Amino acid sequence: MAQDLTARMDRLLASGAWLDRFTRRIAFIGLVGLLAVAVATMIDVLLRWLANAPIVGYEDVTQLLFAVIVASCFPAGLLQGRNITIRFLGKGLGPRRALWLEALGAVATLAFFTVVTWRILAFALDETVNNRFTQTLEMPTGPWWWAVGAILAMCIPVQLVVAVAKTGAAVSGTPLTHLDDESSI
Amino acid sequence: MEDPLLIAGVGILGMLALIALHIPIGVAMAIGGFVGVGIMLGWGPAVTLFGTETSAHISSSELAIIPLFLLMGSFAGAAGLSSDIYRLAYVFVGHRRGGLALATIGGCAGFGAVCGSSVATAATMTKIALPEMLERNYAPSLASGSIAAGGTLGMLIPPSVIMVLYGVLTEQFVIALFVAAVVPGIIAVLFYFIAIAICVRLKPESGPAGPRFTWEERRKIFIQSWGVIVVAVAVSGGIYAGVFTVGEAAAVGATLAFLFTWGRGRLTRAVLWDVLTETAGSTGMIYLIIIGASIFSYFVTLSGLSENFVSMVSGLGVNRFVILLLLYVMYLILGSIFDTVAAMVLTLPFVFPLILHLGFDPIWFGVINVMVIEIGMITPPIGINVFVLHGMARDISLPTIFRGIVPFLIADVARLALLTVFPALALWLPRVLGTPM
Repeated sequence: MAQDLTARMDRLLASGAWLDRFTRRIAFIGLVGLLAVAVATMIDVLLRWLANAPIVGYEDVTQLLFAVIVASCFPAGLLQGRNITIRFLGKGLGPRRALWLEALGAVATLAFFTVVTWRILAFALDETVNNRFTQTLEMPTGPWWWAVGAILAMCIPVQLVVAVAKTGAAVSGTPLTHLDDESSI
Repeated sequence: MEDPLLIAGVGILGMLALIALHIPIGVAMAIGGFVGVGIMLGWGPAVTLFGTETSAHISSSELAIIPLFLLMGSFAGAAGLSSDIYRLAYVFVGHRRGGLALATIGGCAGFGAVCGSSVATAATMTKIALPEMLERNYAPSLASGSIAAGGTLGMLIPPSVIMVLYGVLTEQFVIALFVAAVVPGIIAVLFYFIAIAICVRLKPESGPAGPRFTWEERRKIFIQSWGVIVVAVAVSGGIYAGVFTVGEAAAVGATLAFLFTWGRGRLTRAVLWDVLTETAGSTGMIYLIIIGASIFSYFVTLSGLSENFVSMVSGLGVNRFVILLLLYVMYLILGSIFDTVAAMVLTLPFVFPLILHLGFDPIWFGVINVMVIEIGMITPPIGINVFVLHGMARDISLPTIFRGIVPFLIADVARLALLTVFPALALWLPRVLGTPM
């Protein structure tokens, strides 16, 4: 049963599987937002330079937008294993123990994102309850932080899949075939 | 356990143990900081840090420069700007012995001006320059060594992602760091040129000369390469001329690189998908480390460890240059084991106060810090650039690449010594231009 679950999780982690496509789509939307910010910045620079008329409230929007954009990068990064990890010990201890260390790393990352999500949602609640606004446009900040919290919340099931797959791999002693840790040393 | 220094010591050891146990560096730093603050202030304030530090950093417009520069680099690669700059360098120096290696260094420096990442520069140049050099019977050691070493220029030549990070973490003007890196960047290119010239003089068969191009052909290639020149001039020129801020320059660079990709008909759905998801992966990775490092730095500051470390080191009565030398050795080792970002964020909470206390200029040290870590990236036993290159060109063995790096490593050490003895080489330009420091 454990092996079956591991195999299923492993398939979920494959590049091109629905989870990969889903997380990449979130990142894609976020980065399209970044591109839009870049274009808006260039227009702002040109307007300021040529007509001395910068976009009003530009800072207000971009600062909050950056938070949403950066948050959107995390789920895909987690699924792609884009975390810098030092793997000397695992290489020294042998493949079986290395799998257990991998599982430990995945569980710690899951715990980290769970706490971060919880605190960001608490922060969003605080912004909403205290009716906080941006300085120039007086735009409410709460909804933006709820959006950040919602995106970060997606990291939890994503990392849960990674953690379950890695733990299953450690139990069965069979390395995962689909998770490619790109940033290992 | 009441003594804050003892807690700090245990916290640091704990963090290092977690890193050794395969826990991602950013997460390990966050856990180390969380536990330390929890013991000192209580678990309530400690857990709050996860929210305050994350919200502060992901909405920071200063840090947003990083994904923008990453985006610019990715689009620049997709638009073929890296090939342009390599071709441009090639038509001018390709006819000399070792000319393709010189062109590679020139290409790396030029691409560094529109990219800002060392690994990305090395990876891009491996695709473009390595097949060409091998086809022309270059020694694999010289070919791979020039790419791995040239890749490090991506981090030194402004705009540089890692310098943005240094500026944010130490509260220094990023623009001053960029300006200060210009002369050291030029020196780096010149020293690499000298290293190649010596190599081909000693072993002429390692870098045979290519055909000479006419001035008419050179002019044509120069005109065809206008894209990369426009992006580099707009970004760097805009910053140095004071037309826009570094953040705006990053946005302008990203937009221009995107427009070139589109204008050249290379913006397919697949390319856009790859560029954006690749940038997202790198962005997530860097921000995770930044968030973890900020939680850890809070703990280190709270414990007073930095101050105690500074007074302990200064109490030794050792000459400040000896301490600097020891720091260089430490960074070389860290740079060869850790990722650049990790090596910097792990050490700055301790090293930066020490540097200030010893009377070194923080802008100068920013350049030096990047240089030393970057040397670590091509230093055995690890050297991440070497592994990137080896991963893309499996038929060139690691010992061959490391052998090829030796002349460049000597050039790097000579450059480091020169900048240590003459800090004015870095600080002269910001002062002349009146850059705020």
